[in-house]
Amino acid sequence: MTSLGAASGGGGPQNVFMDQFSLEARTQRVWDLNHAVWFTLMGLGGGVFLAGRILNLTEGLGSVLGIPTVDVVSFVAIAAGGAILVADLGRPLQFWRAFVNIRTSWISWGAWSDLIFLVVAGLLVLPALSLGGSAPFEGLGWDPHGTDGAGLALEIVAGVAAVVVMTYAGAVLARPRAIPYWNSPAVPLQFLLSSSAMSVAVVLFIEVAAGEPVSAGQMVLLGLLCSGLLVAVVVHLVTDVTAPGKAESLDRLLRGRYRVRFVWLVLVDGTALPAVLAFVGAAASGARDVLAVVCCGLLLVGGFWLRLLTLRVGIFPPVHIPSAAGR
Amino acid sequence: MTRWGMVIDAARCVGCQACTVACKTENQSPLDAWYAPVLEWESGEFPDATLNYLPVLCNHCEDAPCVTACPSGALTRRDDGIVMADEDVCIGSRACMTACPYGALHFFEDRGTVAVDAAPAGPEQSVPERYAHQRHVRGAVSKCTYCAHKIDFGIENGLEVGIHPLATPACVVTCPAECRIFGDLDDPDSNVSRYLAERGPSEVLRPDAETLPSTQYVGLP
Amino acid sequence: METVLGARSGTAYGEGWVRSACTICMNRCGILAHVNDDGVVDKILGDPDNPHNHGRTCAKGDAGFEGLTDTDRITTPLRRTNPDKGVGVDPGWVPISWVEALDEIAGHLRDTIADDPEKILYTSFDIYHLRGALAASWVTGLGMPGYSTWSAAIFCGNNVHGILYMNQNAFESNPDPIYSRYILNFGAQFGSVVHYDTMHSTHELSVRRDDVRMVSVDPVCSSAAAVADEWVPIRPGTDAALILGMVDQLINELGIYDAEFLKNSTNAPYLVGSDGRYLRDAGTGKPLVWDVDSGAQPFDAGTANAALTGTYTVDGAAARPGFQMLADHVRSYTPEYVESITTVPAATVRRLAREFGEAACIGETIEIDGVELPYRPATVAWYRGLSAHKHSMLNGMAIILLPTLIGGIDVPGGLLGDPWGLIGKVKDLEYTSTASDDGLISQGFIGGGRVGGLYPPRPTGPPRTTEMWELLPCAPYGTVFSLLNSEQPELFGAPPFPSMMINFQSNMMKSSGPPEVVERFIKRIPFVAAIARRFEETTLMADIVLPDVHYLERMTPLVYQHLASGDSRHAAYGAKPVVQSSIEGPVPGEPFVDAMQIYLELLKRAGRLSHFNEAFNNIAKMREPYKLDADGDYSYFEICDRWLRNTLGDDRGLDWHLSDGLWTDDKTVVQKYPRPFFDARAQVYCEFMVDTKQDLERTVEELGVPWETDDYQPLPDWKPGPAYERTSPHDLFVTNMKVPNHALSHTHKNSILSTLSNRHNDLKSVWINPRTAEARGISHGDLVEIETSGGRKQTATARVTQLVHPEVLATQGCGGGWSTGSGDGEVNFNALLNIDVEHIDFVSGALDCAIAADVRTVPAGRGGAR
Repeated sequence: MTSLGAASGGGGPQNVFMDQFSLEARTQRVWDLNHAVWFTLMGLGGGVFLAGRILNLTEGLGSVLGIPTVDVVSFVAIAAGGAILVADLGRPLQFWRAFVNIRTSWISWGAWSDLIFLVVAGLLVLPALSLGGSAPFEGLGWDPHGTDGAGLALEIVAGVAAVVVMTYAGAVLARPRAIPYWNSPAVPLQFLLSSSAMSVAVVLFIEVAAGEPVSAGQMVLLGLLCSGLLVAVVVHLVTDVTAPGKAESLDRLLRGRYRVRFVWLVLVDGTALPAVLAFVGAAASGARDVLAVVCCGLLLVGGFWLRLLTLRVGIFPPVHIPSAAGR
Repeated sequence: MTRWGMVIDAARCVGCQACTVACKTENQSPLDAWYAPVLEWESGEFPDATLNYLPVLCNHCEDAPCVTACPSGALTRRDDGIVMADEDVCIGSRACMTACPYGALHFFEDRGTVAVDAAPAGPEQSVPERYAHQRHVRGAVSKCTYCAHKIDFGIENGLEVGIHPLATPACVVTCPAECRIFGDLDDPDSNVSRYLAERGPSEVLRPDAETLPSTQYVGLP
Repeated sequence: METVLGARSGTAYGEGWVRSACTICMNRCGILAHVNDDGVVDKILGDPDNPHNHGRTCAKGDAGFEGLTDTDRITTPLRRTNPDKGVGVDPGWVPISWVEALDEIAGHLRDTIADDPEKILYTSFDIYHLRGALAASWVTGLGMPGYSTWSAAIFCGNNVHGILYMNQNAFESNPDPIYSRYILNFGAQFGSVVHYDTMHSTHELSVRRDDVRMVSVDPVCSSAAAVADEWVPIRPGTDAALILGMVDQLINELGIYDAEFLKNSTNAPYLVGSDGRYLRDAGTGKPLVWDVDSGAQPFDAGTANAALTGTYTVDGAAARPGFQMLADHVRSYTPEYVESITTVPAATVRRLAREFGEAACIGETIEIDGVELPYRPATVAWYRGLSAHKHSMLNGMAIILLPTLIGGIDVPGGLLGDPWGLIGKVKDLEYTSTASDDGLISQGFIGGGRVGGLYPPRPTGPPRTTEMWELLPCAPYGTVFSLLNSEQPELFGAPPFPSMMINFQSNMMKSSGPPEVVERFIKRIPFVAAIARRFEETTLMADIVLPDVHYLERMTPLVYQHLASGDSRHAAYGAKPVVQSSIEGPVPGEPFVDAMQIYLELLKRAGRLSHFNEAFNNIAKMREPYKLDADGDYSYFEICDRWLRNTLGDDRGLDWHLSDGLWTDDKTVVQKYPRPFFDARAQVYCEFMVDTKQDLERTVEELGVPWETDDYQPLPDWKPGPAYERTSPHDLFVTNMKVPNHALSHTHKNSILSTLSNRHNDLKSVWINPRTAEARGISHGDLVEIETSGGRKQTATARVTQLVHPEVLATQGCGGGWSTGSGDGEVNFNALLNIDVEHIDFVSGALDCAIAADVRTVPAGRGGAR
């Protein structure tokens, strides 16, 4: 009760200002595990779709009901993420109202981008759908892999939506000034880079699973994404380190209760190690497939922990910083 | 234009929590939700130590981050500056709760308490808590409205807002130290404007958040 | 007569709002309560028309409707079937009829009255009844001298009421919220919403807060100290040393005192001989003063210039004015000596004295309503913090010196008295005081409580009750001796013990001492009846329980009569049913609105109704045609109607009460600031103590009882209390303080307030200074055990804080109950107290509440997490 230090989370009412009436920094407890999961799944879903398209890996890596495996993984991830999102709402049956405030709300943007992505990307792959040997939508007349005009148009719209899907969770956090650790472009950038790295790694994993060789270029891309993420994380860790609220967040990540998880699961496991392994894999062709699979595992774990710990160190500074100590 | 606002003279607050309770009974907020608490903090070292008080409530910001963040449009800012939560529209995303620097939004979790029209109330359940289930929507977010219902009642019935007890926020009415003044910030002759002219300039909480609050302070420690 | 209850009336606030009064604390604020469409009271506002609380309410008052609709209310008379009584014992309640219950209680009353009416113990701190004529007449009608406020009489005003009667003819006093500019709190919380007159004073102070300097002398930075300009931490039980040090500075170093006031309005100039008694005029027997021109003469001989200082020879005997006696007496209280006792730095002692003296503006005047009055804007506030100690009366005699020395009594800016001895005299408001033959204020208390003044002292004699009132000639209360006599019956020769008890609105088991001590006391009483809304700890000890109504269901007229001095308006108002109780009362067909209806039925059945009627006529100062006929059998409503008309005028009867109910009036300047307008003198030198001591010593010697008489002395001293010399490991003091969102013990089951206190003012915590905590290996949030030197224990959660003296363990509130609805894990401070000779003040009947204690973390595996 004496300090202005951040009160710890855990249990109690959702409004963290309310558990003790003390003027102090407060950790948000509104969003936690569920949000970390759907943030991860959304990032992955958008990213896998994009990676599959950009790396031209929709073909040759197998399919489910005729639809390319990478796209299926993308759709499943986004649908699952969306389901968790809706289930986590206070009033899930009213979920459709999430689409209302597109003027200012990043969550509305996210809802629309999820919907647009699922609809447009779904349309895009629809001609490939194969049910019991027949392809009922074959006649739609565009290439599910986006090689013709209509297919490409759909692919571009879906791709843009996918980028928004990958980013908006971070933007939701970054826009308000309430929580200084979140209120930075670094957060959506981290989420975008993490999503990209995870997604490329997942696509490489699918590639390996399909018995296709991983290329050195793919590993270099993965390495660059991981390196970029590392830079984005580290830069955020060393800027505004004394700002009220952010200082407490950094303290918790670097010295406090999350130190071990942040350093090992996010910094090492989630960024630095896969970056090193990816570059090693790019050079060592023999170990490349194995390293790609290892990177995929590391990045998925790291990506999830990046999001969870970002949420958990969401700390509101005290609503007022007293001008002087003492009477 | 009218812009309702509250000036809190923190130097006058005696930390009695009358506002906290008056708000709860007026608004029948769910048991865990206190829209208008008085925050405390210690400062100094013995023997030059003291306990400080800071009454807080919704800041009814001109640039309200909760309104910006709300996906459903449940949170709106009225023409008179009051930020309202339409609980029937709210979907419970709680984006507002992380967006508000002041902790002014309150999520009504269902904790298995009994509605007033259901089973007889036990001794542990307060009247506001029982009515919270009629007054508020479970799974939605509720907040301080500057007692907008009282302000509207006052305007409809020709009562002076900020002065008449039925046309003034409950926290203002109850305050024994009279550390709260409520009125029209846009009217230079209003009680709030005159108080600020005499005791101002005002300060706001979390100025770094640049929310342009209508809840303003003088005498902040 | 027929009266419609629960009418939505009495205010300009329209349907749904009912004007009434709050009963949660002594302030009895005027309220408007709101009834919603379900018939549920859901809101309370301060009554904006009421000049006492200016339309304000506190947290407690705002939440007051809680409990009205609770399912655990007692709805019918109950009889105990289990003869075994005690904490945790199931009483085996069975419902009985009102007739059966009333007949049985009345039978006990008849038998006890036939034996000795003083063997009826009526314990009540019902705030509506406390200052009214109803309950006073009920006990008087039974033949008792008064009722016992019980816990309040052990802890609260022991060194307050008598002292204030002595120097300003008031039951209690407060700083002037409008004109005081320097307010010294000694262990009191004036200025926060904890003390008396909270709403009015908080309002007035807030308006001029920048112009007022408030200083809190307190072991803990209480809520009042937090809003004060300065907190002066002090070692518990040592305030008298600081006060006497300030008196020494004011008189002997700074020469700041109001000589005119002391000469003309106190006994300071009375000459005192070597035996400590006044020198008296040989002819008239009047005390002498020394006129600087004409030498010794009677105090009332018109002397304009009586000497305050010096030594004089009268008829060959050396004599000094009482003021000189005081000046010489306090010389030993040097700032350095004071520091060694109090831990308050010597420089602070000097500074506080100088600030207080300079702020007193001696010689200045102010014009109020066109009349020039002395302006003395420095004053003090004290209550339990100074009172609940061994040597309590000496503390009181010390503190009253500060306002007396500066002439700051019932003048603008000074200490303002609330003379509620004037009960029933709303229309006859003149504040006067009878002077004794010695010219001293001597109008004692008139009213219902078993409360006594300090001066003139009462004659001593063999104790007639277990309260030993007859051996406490200067005490306001003797209640604590009831517990001591229960614990050690042979110590004082087993004075008569109560044969029966009726308990109403006083949770003795929780609020007056260690539960097992109070339990033994109550178990020794052959028959106990309790009137209660829900089961409290004390209700569970009763043989018969009668239902009570919630205060928002009550109709009790004139619960507040604002007679206190000060520049405000008079007000008188009462309580009326905001909603009507559905509980059947003692009178068939009559709405149940007040326990008085029970008492009237009991009086009737016990054959005491005529005694009640006569007592009521007397106490309520009833005139024709409203007077009760001695043989009349009046309903409660009829009595209320007559009482109201008698008090407020013929057009203000019960119908007026129910439809309006608020009377206000302007005060005259004499009513606002009475002191300059009357002659009776306050006391600086308590000469009467000399003879009182002698008389008492003679009596106790004859009785052969051990008794302490050392503290009967004419001038105060600081003396060490039982915990002053502490030995390791019990080298700390455990103390207790009030919190703003609870009133005594009776708000703890209010679910709104208990939720709030769990968030904020934690009844579960003990405040420990970081230095102390570190030395004992205690961290913030640890579960700790407090153990007193007497071996009593309580567990608490450590709040390690700079806001407490390093020698002190501070607990808050009056928690730690065990009846249904009580909070878990609260500290029961009273369970740590010692009911023994060492901790009781034999002059004032106070119980020492600074207890030597140790604190340590609870070993793992014990107690569990909180």
